Amino acid sequence: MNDAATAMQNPELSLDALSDEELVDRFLFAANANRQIAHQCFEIIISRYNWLISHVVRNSHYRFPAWDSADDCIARAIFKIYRGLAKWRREGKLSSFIARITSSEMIDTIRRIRRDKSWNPRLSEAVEEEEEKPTAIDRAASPEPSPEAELLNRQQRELVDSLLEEVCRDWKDSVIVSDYIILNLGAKEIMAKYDMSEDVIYQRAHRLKARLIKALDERGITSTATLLGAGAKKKK
Amino acid sequence: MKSPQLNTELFNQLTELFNARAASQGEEAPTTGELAAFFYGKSADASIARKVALNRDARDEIALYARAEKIAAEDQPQQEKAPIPAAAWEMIHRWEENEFAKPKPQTAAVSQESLKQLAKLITEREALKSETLTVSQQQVMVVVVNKEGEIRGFERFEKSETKRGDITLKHAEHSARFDNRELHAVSNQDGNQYAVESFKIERDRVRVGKLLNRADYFIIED
Repeated sequence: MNDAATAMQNPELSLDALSDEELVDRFLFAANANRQIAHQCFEIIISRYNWLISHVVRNSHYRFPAWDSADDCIARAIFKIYRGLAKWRREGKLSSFIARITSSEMIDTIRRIRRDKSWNPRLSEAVEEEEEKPTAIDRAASPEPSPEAELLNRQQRELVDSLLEEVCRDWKDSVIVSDYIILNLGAKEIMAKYDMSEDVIYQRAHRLKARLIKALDERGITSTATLLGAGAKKKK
Repeated sequence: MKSPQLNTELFNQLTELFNARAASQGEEAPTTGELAAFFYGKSADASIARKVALNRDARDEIALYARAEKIAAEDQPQQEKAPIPAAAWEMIHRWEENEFAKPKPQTAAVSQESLKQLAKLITEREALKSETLTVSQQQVMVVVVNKEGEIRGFERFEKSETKRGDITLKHAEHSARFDNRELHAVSNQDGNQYAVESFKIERDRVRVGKLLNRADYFIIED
């Protein structure tokens, strides 16, 4: 008999002693029948991972306004963990599942507060912004297309899009193509930001450049003239 | 490591195109769900890869997942008392009272392993064996148990069978008491091994397909 079933038959057995898996089992058993037990189980789960949730939210490079604070974000993350525990499929550690829900909640919060143009959630840019606040007129969206958009004709836009879709196969590819190959950020900065090793960055960058060359070649693009020309079509 | 040779002029021009594309408006950011699926390798959608490459905010959000994963991997579960914020409890209580918080199907809420443990407990009860003997061949006796495996009662279900052998069980009292609950059918395989199949009850009946002749049935109800 597994421990969760044993615990059901021996209520005196301390919930604290249960493993994460057993505690979640017990929580799910009790969720529709005995909410008091379910809540007790959940309190123990959160006490185990409260530091994790708090650390993910509070130690990010984002700042939260008083009207949608880090505490609000944490409360919503905890609620979503409660609501989502049944979906934890034991494929990974419970900590990873909780980190994922918390990060998603934080991203939703950042996106929401970013929509309020009076608040910049980026910590690093907040100081610069304080020093040189744009006026409301500066911030108003221009009805005309941006100069960049005008520069980029539809065909070139399609070319860039198709190259990225062909070359990038996972998030690390997208990040390295963009931050390392195009924006020329340093490997150390990328390592710190995305928790990637230096080797991964160099190896992937090498592979991605090779893919990029191949993709361009397949489209008959070997020079700036052909790149900017109209004939950039993928070879059959 | 030496990188593949890419014509410098061509590469610079390509970089300019990438930058112009990234700066141009009109590229919508991936949703949080798409982003999470992409980060965790659940989706290989090329359009998300493109959006992430072109959108700085999306890359910053990817960095949040990467950072959180790192913290989670290094995290040692704590045992300190940390009260759940009142605001979280409020949301939980509201949700529990909400119509969307209807009981989940038992198969989602109760693990197969636990069901098997319950099944074993139930089929070994003498009370069930003697009750089962009181029903006709056109009936089955279903045992109602609580989540601790304690027997709460017995319910008769009428058995009907189509020509193709599909079986439907109907509550003899025509009650909707078990509506939306699940009926679990237990078959004993190989001595101590129990197989459990679960079927949703709709009002007073449940279709169990071509079920084995020798099975015990139970419903979990508190």
